[in-house]
Amino acid sequence: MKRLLLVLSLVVTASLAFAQSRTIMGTILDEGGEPLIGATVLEENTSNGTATDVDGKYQLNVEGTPVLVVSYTGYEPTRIQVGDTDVYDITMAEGLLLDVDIVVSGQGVGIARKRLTTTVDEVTAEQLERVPMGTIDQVLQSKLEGTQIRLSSGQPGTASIIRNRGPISANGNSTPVIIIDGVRVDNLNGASELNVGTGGASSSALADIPVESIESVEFIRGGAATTLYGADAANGVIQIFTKKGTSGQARVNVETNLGFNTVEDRFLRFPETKDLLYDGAKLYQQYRLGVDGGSDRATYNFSGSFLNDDGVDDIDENLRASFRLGASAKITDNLEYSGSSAFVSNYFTRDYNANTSFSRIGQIEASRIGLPSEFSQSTTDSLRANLLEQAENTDITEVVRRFTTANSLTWRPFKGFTAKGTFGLDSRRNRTREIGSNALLVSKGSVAPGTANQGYLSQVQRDFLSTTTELALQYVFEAGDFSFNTNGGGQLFRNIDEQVQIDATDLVEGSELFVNSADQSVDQFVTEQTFGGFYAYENIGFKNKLFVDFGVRLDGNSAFGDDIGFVDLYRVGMTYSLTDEAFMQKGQISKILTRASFRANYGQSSNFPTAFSRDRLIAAQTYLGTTAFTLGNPGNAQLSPEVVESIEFGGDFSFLEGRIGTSITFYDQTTTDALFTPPSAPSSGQLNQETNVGEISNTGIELQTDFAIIQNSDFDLNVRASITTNKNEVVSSGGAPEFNVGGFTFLGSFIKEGQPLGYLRGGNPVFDAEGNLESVTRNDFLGNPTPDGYGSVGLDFRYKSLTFFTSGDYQYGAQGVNVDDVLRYFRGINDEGRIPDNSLSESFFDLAGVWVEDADFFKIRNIGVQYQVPGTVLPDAFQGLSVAFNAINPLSFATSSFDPEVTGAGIGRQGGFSAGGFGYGTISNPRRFILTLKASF
Amino acid sequence: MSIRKIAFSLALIAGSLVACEAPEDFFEPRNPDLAVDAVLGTVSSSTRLLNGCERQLAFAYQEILPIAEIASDNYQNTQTFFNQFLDALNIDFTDNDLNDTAFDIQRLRALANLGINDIGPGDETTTADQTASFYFFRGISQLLAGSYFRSIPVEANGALGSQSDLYALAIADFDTALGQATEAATINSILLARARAKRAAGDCTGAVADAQTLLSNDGAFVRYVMFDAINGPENILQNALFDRGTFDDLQPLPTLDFLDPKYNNIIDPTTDFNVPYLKAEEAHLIIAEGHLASGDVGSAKTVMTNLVALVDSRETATFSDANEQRSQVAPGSRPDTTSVVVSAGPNRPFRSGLVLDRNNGDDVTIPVISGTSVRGTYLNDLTGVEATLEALYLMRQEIFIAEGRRVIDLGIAFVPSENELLLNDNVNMEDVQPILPSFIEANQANMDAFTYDAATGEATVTVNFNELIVQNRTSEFVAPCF
Repeated sequence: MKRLLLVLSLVVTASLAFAQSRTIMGTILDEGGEPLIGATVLEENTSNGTATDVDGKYQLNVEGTPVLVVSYTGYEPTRIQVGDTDVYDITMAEGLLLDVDIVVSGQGVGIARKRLTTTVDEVTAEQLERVPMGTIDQVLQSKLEGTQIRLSSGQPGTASIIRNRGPISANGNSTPVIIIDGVRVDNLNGASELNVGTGGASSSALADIPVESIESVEFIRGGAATTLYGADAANGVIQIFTKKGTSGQARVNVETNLGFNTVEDRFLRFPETKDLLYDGAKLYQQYRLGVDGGSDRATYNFSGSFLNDDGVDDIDENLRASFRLGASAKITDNLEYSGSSAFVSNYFTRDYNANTSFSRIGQIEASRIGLPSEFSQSTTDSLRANLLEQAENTDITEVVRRFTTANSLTWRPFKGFTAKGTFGLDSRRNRTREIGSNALLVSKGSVAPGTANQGYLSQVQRDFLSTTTELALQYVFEAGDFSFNTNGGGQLFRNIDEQVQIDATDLVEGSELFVNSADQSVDQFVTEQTFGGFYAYENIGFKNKLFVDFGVRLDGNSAFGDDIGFVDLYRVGMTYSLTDEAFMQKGQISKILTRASFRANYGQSSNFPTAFSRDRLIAAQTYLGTTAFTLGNPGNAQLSPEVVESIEFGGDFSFLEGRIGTSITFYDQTTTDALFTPPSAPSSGQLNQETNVGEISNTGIELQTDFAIIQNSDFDLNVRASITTNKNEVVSSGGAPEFNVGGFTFLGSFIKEGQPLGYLRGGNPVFDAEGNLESVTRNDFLGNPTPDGYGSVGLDFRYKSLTFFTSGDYQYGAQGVNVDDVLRYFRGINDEGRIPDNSLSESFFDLAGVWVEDADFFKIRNIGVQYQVPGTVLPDAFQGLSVAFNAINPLSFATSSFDPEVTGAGIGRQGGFSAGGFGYGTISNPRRFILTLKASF
Repeated sequence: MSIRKIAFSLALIAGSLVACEAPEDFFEPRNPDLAVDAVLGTVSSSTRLLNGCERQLAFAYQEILPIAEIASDNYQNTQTFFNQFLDALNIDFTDNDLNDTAFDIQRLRALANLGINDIGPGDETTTADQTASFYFFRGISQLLAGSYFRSIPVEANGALGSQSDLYALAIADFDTALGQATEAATINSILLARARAKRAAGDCTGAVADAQTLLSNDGAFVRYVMFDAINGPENILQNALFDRGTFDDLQPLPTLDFLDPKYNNIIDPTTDFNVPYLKAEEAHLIIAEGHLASGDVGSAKTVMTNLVALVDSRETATFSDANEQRSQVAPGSRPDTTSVVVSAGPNRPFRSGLVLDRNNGDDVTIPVISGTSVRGTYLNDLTGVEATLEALYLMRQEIFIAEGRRVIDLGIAFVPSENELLLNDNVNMEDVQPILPSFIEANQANMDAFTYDAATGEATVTVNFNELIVQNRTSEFVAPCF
C-alpha cells in the first residue's frame, strides 16, 4: 500500500511540476557504441527516474539543473550535471565484474543482461587474445569461472574433459554444446565410433575451431539457463561470437607467437624418460594476419593464421592453417546481414599412448624394459637408438578439413520488433591413419627381425555435417512501469555422421595405399538425424529492477519420430536489483554496497537417448567373408529423454563502487529418468539396453570474486578467484546392477546407487602391522574422479603500458589411479612404500586400492607480461605495437604422483561418459614459452 | 563485389553442400542396424543367422578360453590383465569374466532360438540341415553352459538348471538335430557333441556308441571355432599366448611346455588360428575311458595307441618363438631349455623332451590340433586301470591344451554372476557360492606350482592333478564314466 501511495504521490508531483519542468534526453551507450537497454537514469536524491529504451534512449522531466545518476549493472555509475542544454549522450565505462553484467546476445536475439535471471559467464576478446594458445579449450582453461577444463593429454589436439558443476548424465559426454554465431558445430571431444588404435589419444573437434577473430565467448552453464537451448544442452552451451568488423579505414593486424615447448617432467617417474624421449625444446610458432574495416553500411573482418606445434617429442606435431571471414551489412535501413565463414586445415602426427604396448613412454615409465637407473651406458645407448628407430617408423597421422559458416539476417521492421533468421553449417572431415610397417613391428619387438608379411594399414575417415536453421522473434515494449521482452522461435538441426574404417593386411613396405596390401576389411558407422524444437520465452520487468521470466521449449528428434514426439521443458525465474531502489542510491549506501541483485530460478533441460536405442534391431556383421546376423539393440518402447531439473538461487554484489565484486549461486540439479545402460541378465543373451532408471543429484555452490586493489591512471591491480563445489551422487539406479563406464575390470570407473557417478571401484586391501595382506574388500569404493571442488584464480597488474598477468586453476577432493605403477608392478618394479614388501606377491586384483591416490592439484596455466608501446614513440604507420611474453603451464602442484589431469584411457565411445581419473602413459601438457609481437597498421 | 553478393554466394555454397542428400530425406533418420521386421522372412536369412551363430560361438570361446586355461593347472597367469582371481581358483560371483562368459554362451542360445522360432520358419529357403544346425548350436550352448557352470538359467531370466539338467537339454537338442541333419559335417558334429554330452551326463555307453559312429564316419574329423582376425572375433588366447610377445604372459606348466603356443600367427597376418572344439581324438578318448571303466586296460591301450597315430597325423607349425620368454620377470625361474627334465609330481619319474629351447635361434615345432607325450614305451609300459587312466587324463590334458577343457576334467565349475543374481528372481545368494571338489580345494594354492632347480635342470610339478582325478574318480565331480 505504501508503494502505491508513493507511486500516486509521484504521479501527482510530476503533474504539478509539469509546467516548470523541461525534458532532458539522450542516448546511453557502452564503450563500443552499442546502446544500453534498460539503463537507469535517476535524478539524484529523488525518486524521479526512467530507463533507456531498446535504442538506449531516455527522456526525463526535471526541474532546474539537477544531477542525474546513470546506472547500469556491470558499468560504473555516471553522474551528469545538467546544464543549459537538454541533450546528454553518455558513454558508460564497464565496471569490474565484466563477466557478470553486460548485454549478452543469447538465445536468438540479444537480451539485456540485467533482465536475465541466470548467470552467463563471458570471456572477452581482450582476455582471449592475451594467451597465444591454439585451441579453444586451452584458451578457455582457467578463464571460464565455474567451468573446469581438463586436457586429457599433452599431445596436440587431443580430447579434454569440460565440465561445470558436476556430471549430470551417465549416458553422455560432459562437453557443452558449441555454437558459433548461432550455428551448432561438431563438439566431438573424444574417440569417434570407429577409430584407429593408437592407445587412447583421441582427437577433438575442438582443436579445429579457429581461435582468432573471436569477439567474445559466452558460457551458459547447464541447468535452468539452458532450457531454451533444447536437446543435449544440459551440459551448458559455449557460444562463440566472431568479429564482423568495424567501420572505418582498413586496419591490418599482424601477430607472431614464437617459442618453444618443453616437457612437464614433474610427473615422470624416471628422470631417464625425459632424457630418452623428451630431451630439449621443441618449436612452437604461430602467425596471424587480420584485416578489419568497412563503411557505415558494411564491415568486414578477415583473419588467417598458421600454427606449428612440435609437441614435446620426436613424433607429435601439429600443423594448422585457418582463415575466417566475418562481415556485416545494412541491406536496407531495417534489414541487416551478418555472417562468418571459416576454413581450417589441421594435420597431426602422433605417437602411441600407453593403452598399447607400442607406447614408447609406456615402455620406459611402465618399466617394460626394466629399471632405467640400472641400465648400463651401452643399454641406454642401444635403448636410445631403438626409441629413435621406433619414432622414425611410427606413422600415425590425422588430417582434418573443416568448413564452418554462419549467416544471419536481422529484420527490424518497426520499433521493438526483431526477427532474426540464421542458417549455417559445419562440415568436418577427418582422416586418421596408422601405418604399421614391418620395420615398425620389428623396432617394437613385436615380430622377429626379418619379418616381411605383417605390415598393416588402418584408416578411419569421418565425415560430419551439421546444419542449423533458426528463426528467432523478439518484441520489446513498455507499458507504464512494466517492460516486456517477448521471444519465440525454433531451430532445426540436421546431423550426418558417416564413418568408414578400412584395415589392410600385409601392406607392402613403404606404401600407404590399400591397393598395395593383401586383404582389406571395412567397418562402417552411419547415423543421420534431424532434431530441434520451438520455444517461447517471456521476460517481464517492473520498474527496471524486478524481472520475472518464464519459458517453454518443445524438443523433438527424428531418430525417435512420433514415438517420443516433442518433449516439453519449462523454466521460470526472477531477479531483483536492490540497488536500483531509490533508497539505495542515497547517501553513502551506494558507495559501500554499489550493487546488489538477487536471482532465483527453476528450469529443465534434457538429453535425448542415443539415436535408435528405442528400437529392436538385428545387426548384420561381416564374418569370414559372409554376412552374419546377430541380435542388435534389444529395444525399449518406454525410452524417453532424461530431464535435468535445476533449482538455483544466488546474487551478484559489488562493493566500494565496484572495487569488490562477488557472485554466488547455489545450485541443486536432479537428473530424473536418467539414462543408464545397465547390464542385461546374462541368461537373456541380449545386449545392454538404454533405459530411464536412474536419478542423479548434483548440488553445490559457485562463488566468484573480483578485487580491484589499486585503480588509478598509472596502476591497476586486480585479483580474482572462484570456487565451485559439487556433491554428486547416483541417488537411484532403479535396481539395476552397477556397471562399468571406464578403466579396467579390476579397477574401474563404475555407476552404482549411492555412489558418485563413475566412482573408482576395486579390491581394497588391508595390511597388518607386518605388511601382510590381512583382508580384501572386493569391489569396494576406492575414490571419486570428480572433484569436490574446483576453481580458478587470476591476477592482473598494470603499470602504465606494462601489464603483468597470471592465471591458474585447481581442484580438490578427487581421486585417480596411477596406472603406470600398476604396469610397473607387473615388471617387479614398485613405487616405494606403495605395497608392503610382504604383500608384493599378492594378486594385483586384490591390491587395486593401493594405486588410487588423492588427485588434488593447483596449476599455474599462464604467467605473462605485455608491453604496449606508447603511441607517441610509434612511427606514423603504426596504430599499435605490443610485445608480450607468456610462460604457459609453468608450475604444477599435485598430491598425486601422476598428473591428475591427463587420462590416457580416453573416452570409451563416441559421445560417451568419462569421469577421467586414469592417469597413465601419456604426457602432460607441455610447458610453453612464447614471445608475442602484435602490430596494427 | 558487394556484401550482398557475398552473402548470397555463401548461402548458395551452404545450400549446395546440404543438397548432397535428397530433400525428402531431410527428416528421415538413418540407422546402421536393421529393424527385426526387415529381416524376418527374407531369403537367406537362415544362412546369415547360422553365420551369426558360428560367430557367436567364437565370441563364447573368446571368453571361455582365457579363464578356463587360467583356472586350470595348464597355465599360470604371471602378470596379465586376464583374470587374476581364477589363477588362484577364487571363483567369485562378482567377477566380471564369469558374467561375460555366461552371457556369450547364453547369447548363442538366444541366437539359435531366434533361428528355431522366427528366422528359420520365416525363410522359405531354410533347409532341414540348417534347422538341424540351429538345434545343434542351441545344444552346444547348453553343453557349454553345463560344462562350465555349476548351475545356470535354462532360459532367459529362467530357473536355474543343474549341470545334469543342461546336459539333458543339450542331448535333447542334439537328438532333434540328428533327426534333421543331412550333411556329413553336420551329422558328425552332432554325434561328437552328443557323445561329449552323454559322457558328461554319465551315460558312458551312449557316449561310446556315438564316438564309434563318428570314427566310422570320419576318423580324422575336426570342427573348429572359427575366428576372423580382420573383422573379429579374434582368437584372444592366441593373443595371450603368442601375438603380444612378452606383454601378456600366460606360462604353461613345465610338463606342457612342448605344446605351447598352440595358436601362433604363422599362417598369415589375416588369419587367426581356429580352435578345434570337436575332433576325432575325443572319440578315441571316450572309447578308451569306456574300456577302462569296464576294466579292459588292453583295449584301452589299443585305442590310445590308435589315438597316438591320429595325433601324429595332425598338422604342426614350425616358427620362431624367440619373442616369447619363459623367464622374463624372474630369470631362471622357469625351465627354458631342452636339457631340462620334468616330473609330473613328487613321486613321478623325470621325463625329458617336454621342454623346448625358444631362444637358441632355432625354430620350434608345435602341434596345432593335438599333441601328446603319452606314446612309445611310456604308453606300452602302462599297467592297471589306475596308471592307464592317469595316462589317459594326461593325454586329455595334452590333446585339449588351450581348448578350455582341462577345468571340466578337474571338476571345477563357475557360478552365476552378480548380474544374474540381481536381475533374475530365480537366482539366490546360495546359488552363487562356488563348490569345488575337496581334493581340488585342498590343492587350490598349488594349481600351477612346480619347483625348478636350474642348476640340476630338474623341474617337479607340485601336485599331479591327473593322479588326483584317478584317486577321486568315483567323486560326482570328475571322471563321469566311473
